[in-house]
Amino acid sequence: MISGRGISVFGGIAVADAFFLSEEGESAEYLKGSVKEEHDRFGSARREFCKQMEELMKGTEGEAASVAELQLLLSCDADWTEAVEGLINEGRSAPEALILAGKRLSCELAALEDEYMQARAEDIYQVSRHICDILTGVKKPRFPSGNFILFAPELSPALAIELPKERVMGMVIGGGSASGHTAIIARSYGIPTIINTVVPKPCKEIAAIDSERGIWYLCPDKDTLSQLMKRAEQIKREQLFQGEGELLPCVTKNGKRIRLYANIGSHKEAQLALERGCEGVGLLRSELLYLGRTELPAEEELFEEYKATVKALKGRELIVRTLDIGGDKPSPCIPVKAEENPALGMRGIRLCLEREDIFLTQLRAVYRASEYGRISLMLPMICSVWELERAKELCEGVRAELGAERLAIGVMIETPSAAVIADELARHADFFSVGTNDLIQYTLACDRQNGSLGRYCDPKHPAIIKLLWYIAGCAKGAGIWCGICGELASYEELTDEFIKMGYTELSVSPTAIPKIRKRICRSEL
Amino acid sequence: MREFKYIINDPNGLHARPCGQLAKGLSRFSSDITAVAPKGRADAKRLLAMMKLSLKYGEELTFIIEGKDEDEAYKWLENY
Repeated sequence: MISGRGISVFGGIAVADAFFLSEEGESAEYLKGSVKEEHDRFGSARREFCKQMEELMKGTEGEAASVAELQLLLSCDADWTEAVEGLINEGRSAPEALILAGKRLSCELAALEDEYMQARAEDIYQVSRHICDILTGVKKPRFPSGNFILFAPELSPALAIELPKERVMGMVIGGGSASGHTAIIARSYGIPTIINTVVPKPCKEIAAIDSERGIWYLCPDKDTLSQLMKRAEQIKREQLFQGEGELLPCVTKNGKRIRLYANIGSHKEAQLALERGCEGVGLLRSELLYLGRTELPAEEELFEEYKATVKALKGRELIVRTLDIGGDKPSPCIPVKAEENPALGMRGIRLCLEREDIFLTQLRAVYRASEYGRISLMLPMICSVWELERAKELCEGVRAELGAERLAIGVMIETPSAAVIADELARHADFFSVGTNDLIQYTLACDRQNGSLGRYCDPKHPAIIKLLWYIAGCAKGAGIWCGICGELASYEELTDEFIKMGYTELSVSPTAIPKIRKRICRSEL
Repeated sequence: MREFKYIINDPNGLHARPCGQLAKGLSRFSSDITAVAPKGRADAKRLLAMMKLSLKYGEELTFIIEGKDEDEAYKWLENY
């Protein structure tokens, strides 16, 4: 059994045949013609490419369309065409010339000091590669006729559109700069997907994906398989049960009210979360609109998305986590300097305070959308009181400028430093929400992406439990509410303990809602 | 010869897609159009060359237009 870890972008469990898509593809033999013939072939392949990109632009919208447009523009560039044509004149075949020119120009871009332009190096290579594939007759991949789990180093937008979505049970994608598209596509198709992982060598085996926990398996052993099947069954059963029965209010047997919220990424997921019975959204990952695109989203686009999300919730609370992006979740539209240790780098609130222009645009969109429902703000990666105060000043500035209502501003407790000064932070915040994923990573000094840490990375480590107790105590002392929005919130064996600690809100992935609801309702506390 | 000055007002700098739309738009004119930026100069009709200038927010970009249709090109830039 081989397994790996990555970042889950759409939750679910599936077992199916593995299907590997290699970067190179299989090509037919290419017979080189005369220099003139090679020029002609290049010309017609390029025209074919332009046609395909134009169709892609028409057939898609938003990000996928703008990627296609950039590819189209690049394929019209004189430097690039001249490089290819020059190599053909030197006696190279058109495919050779394309690959060489693509590599040469992408190296030139990669050598620039500008991070954003470095990321474009991949684009120019992709254009060359794609046209080369047209020339050498690389056909679209032949997908298996049955259900499968896709393994690929990268999922280009063009390929994503060709996917037979009804047969793709899961996707395991290596990642890279296109990961943003992959995530968006995964969610809009509703395919369990893990990105940012090491894709194994191709083989013909059964694969399994558990994107609830961000783990994939190749050739899973019997035990793993039966456990996964059991959990998949359970999720399915609970969803069915949920569809039929009346929703029980989330109250313990002793009458304690616990708000059961959902973690979502977009307004489409809000609908899904409602169907599973969420009472609000405890974490809107607002960075998704920024991933995998070259230009920052405009205020209007953000506003429309927040408005659609809060309207979909029909009066339920929506907690928007402000932009949490940085070296560990890179986006081409916000270039950051390469960092040796991005998890400890310019991310979350730090990036927002350094790039106030980006932060203010988002805040304006949030405050405007708050007219359409109940919105609260939550600030990620806070370490110090001054960061919270500065962010609140900026929020207040935007609020005053728009003449909007005041919004509750909470702090995500996800750094050991924030946990330790929770008593001080509580005096300046309207609520706390513990982001356990990062809190665990930073407290236990265990990289989340490192799958080999196993028993060293214990989410239920006494240090974490002690911090959780302390944070809840500080919130209580200051008279504010506190919740948990990390993955730990969906560990049903801990639900009772969380309630004991004093947490009154648990925010979990939509699929975990039914089981946690059951747990809360059965609690004797 | 005509000159057109422009300050990059996008906080992200001049990105690839707008750069490409600009290059595409300018390629209809026969005049030579050179872009002069802090990091060097480039043929404004060439996307990759322009991208290599990696223009940042607040940087000044000067287009030097020389040729028969320089007035039309100037006007086009003005309206862009």
